[in-house]
Amino acid sequence: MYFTLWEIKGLKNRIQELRRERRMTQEELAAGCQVTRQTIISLEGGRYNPSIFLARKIARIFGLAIEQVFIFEEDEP
Amino acid sequence: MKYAKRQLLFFICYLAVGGLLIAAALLWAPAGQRTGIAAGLAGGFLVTGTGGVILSARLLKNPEKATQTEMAKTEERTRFLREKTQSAVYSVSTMLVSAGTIAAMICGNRDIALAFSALLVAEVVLYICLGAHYAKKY
Repeated sequence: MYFTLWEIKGLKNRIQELRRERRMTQEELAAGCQVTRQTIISLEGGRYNPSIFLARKIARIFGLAIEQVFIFEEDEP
Repeated sequence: MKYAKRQLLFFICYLAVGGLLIAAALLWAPAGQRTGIAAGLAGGFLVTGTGGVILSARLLKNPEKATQTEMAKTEERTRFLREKTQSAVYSVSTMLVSAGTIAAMICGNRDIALAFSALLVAEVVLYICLGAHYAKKY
């Protein structure tokens, strides 16, 4: 069995939580990352995992490190 | 903007091909069937080209929408979806052509079965060659 970059299982993200904390809309986050709002919706719903470049952009917008936004389930306490 | 300009250029080429085909249709007047084929192709090219040019020109007038459209066309999720769709279509088309080959053989249509088989062989050869190329590249 193989997974593409976008199909890594067991990867969670805190995008929705962090976005709400900062009172940002999906549209604003999408514009900041130069992606469509649909991509943000898919990311928040856990249906799509981003490339390392998009993950870095998102983490930078929130002012956090990538691993603080995207969490591998095996790394969870 | 780059995307809209590229699209405009692409559809202008379409119109040019349509114009050439109309000229060919007129020059080939005694050729009968060829005239019909050229005129039909020209019609298709001209309609697509005109529609494309109008849409691209409208997009060029609205830079904000042009940027949004370009982003939507090139962002990573769109590319991912495109690749996934193309891969699925390839798998299904291979199965359909295989089924078609078997059906044509059972029905005794030798020419159709041979054409489908040639298509299948070409697909498999391309798959292997491109697979080897990408394996070397990445």
